[in-house]
Amino acid sequence: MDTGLILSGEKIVKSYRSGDATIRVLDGATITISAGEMVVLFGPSGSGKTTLLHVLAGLEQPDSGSVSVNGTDVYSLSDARRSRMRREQFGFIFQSFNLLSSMSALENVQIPLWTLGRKNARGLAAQVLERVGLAHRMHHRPAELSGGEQQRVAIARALVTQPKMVFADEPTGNLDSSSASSVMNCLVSAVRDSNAGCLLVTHNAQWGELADRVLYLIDGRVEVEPK
Amino acid sequence: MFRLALVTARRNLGKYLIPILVLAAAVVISSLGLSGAALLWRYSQYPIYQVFGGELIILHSSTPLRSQRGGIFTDQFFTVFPSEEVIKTVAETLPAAQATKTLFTAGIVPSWGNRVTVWPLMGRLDTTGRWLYKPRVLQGSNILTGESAEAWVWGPSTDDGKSMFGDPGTKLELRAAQFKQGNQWDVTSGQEYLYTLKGTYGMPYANLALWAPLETVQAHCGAPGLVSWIGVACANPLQVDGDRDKLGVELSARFPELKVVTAEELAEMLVADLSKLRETARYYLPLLVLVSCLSIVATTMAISRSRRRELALLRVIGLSNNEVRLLFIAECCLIGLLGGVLGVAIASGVSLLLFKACILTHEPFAVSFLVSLVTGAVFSCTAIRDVTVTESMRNP
Repeated sequence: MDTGLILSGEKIVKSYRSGDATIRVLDGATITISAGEMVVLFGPSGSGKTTLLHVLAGLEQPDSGSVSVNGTDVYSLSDARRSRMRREQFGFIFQSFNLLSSMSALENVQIPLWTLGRKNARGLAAQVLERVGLAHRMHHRPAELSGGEQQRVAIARALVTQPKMVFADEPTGNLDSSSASSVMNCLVSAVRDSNAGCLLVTHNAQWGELADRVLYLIDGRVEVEPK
Repeated sequence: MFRLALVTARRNLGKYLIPILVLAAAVVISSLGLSGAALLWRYSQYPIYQVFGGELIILHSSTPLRSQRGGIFTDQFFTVFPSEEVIKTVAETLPAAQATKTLFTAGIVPSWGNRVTVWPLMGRLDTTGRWLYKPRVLQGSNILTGESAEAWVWGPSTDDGKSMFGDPGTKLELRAAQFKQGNQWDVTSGQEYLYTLKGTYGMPYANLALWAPLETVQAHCGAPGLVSWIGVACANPLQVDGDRDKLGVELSARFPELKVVTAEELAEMLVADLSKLRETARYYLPLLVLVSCLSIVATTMAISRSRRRELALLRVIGLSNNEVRLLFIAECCLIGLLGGVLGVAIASGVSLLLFKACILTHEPFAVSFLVSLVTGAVFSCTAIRDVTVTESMRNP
């Protein structure tokens, strides 16, 4: 197992205000993910899985606790440096695909490469799309693709920069079961091939068998066993 | 980043169609206004009193203007008159004793096809760059002679763009025409001056100068014996003051198509027109700014809302706030550029149709671009501030 990157969240606390009430979504959550490791995080709806993913990805500052990548405190970095870190080391996959509707599949996959100023972005994006089985659909826009195809475009976009860590937030939540299996197989093999670490957040228990490690988010804490 | 900016801007262009069109319209309006003002302003720089000495009677028909190669030209079909007849009338109306030293500033009659344009020019550029044209100059007392003198020529150009007087460097023998006793305009025996042609200039420029034999010009233009502008000057303005109206009445009676205007009247007309246009044009630029601002602000507000998810995604993928802001600004610049270019193109066409002139001022384009830039900068801040990345990216 590659230990080139270790993402670590320590005692993360995050609360939201809802009217007059304060809801503590994360209450001392601690988690570590190594490069090449696939971690599946289960938890019921509203348990704070997505919040934890956002905090770990440097998108949402916790109230307390820390997130570090190879020992570097993510939230001590400036916005520009934190953005650069996300750009270079992280990939994201969402339940609702989040593709840019005005761009073709190929262009959507090229976006991260453009932000990195990579040469031959088109060629690289085409290769990755081919790898996820969409070589014949690369010039179609998202609206012309099925849900499963859109999610595979999103997977290609997440992996095209060869990130060290992939964050996947309910990637099959909007798919039927056959598409979901196909997408998950695609995601897992792509992540394994690139030797990236992966945090897969889901409430679908069937994906646990794909993981190196299964964790549970319960009462704002990360547990290794379900209650 | 540049590629990303280019693609997102291109893909979102359709959404910006309305502000682009509004911006173009604003540029058209202001371009036409400012160009019109600029046109008249340039024309007003034409030293009308200097050229006509302030004591000339000018006979002319209307002269719509158009710009060409940096100058203002006219290619109107002019009514032409037999010069001998006009000269005779002038001689009879202004007795020779009174006009002994009056010089006949016969216009140049450029012609291509059957178009005839006549210019009541004359004068020359002296060595200090000063425009010399006064009756006393035309008498020859102040005219420099010799090889060293240079002439800028009001060059009625031919269709191939060349001056009828030749290319720069051509030696010109230029001669003052003298009004003589016996109803004769002597354009052959006056003193000759040798000039080196330095270049060709448009009408409103003070440093154009030519003094050429009338017959040469008329022959060249295929209009022998014809003129349509005539100026009559006198060394002493007081000499013609009393007879000026008389001459005008006489000429009008004999040549009904001829419009008789004094230099002062012409100047007053121009100044009045110019004042009106300049007054109006003052409002164009602020109007442009206002309309452009409103249009871009309204659109960017609407679009930034509809694109919150897109902006959030770009943030997630790894663009910093400043980089997303730059994307926004780049898009707004593109709007400004497209609106400006479209506006300038339309304004040029309309200007040519309406005014027979196309003087493009840079202000409307510059202002539209600047407005887009500033609006983009301001609204990108708002757009970024309103984007909550995690909220936007949460699963539905």
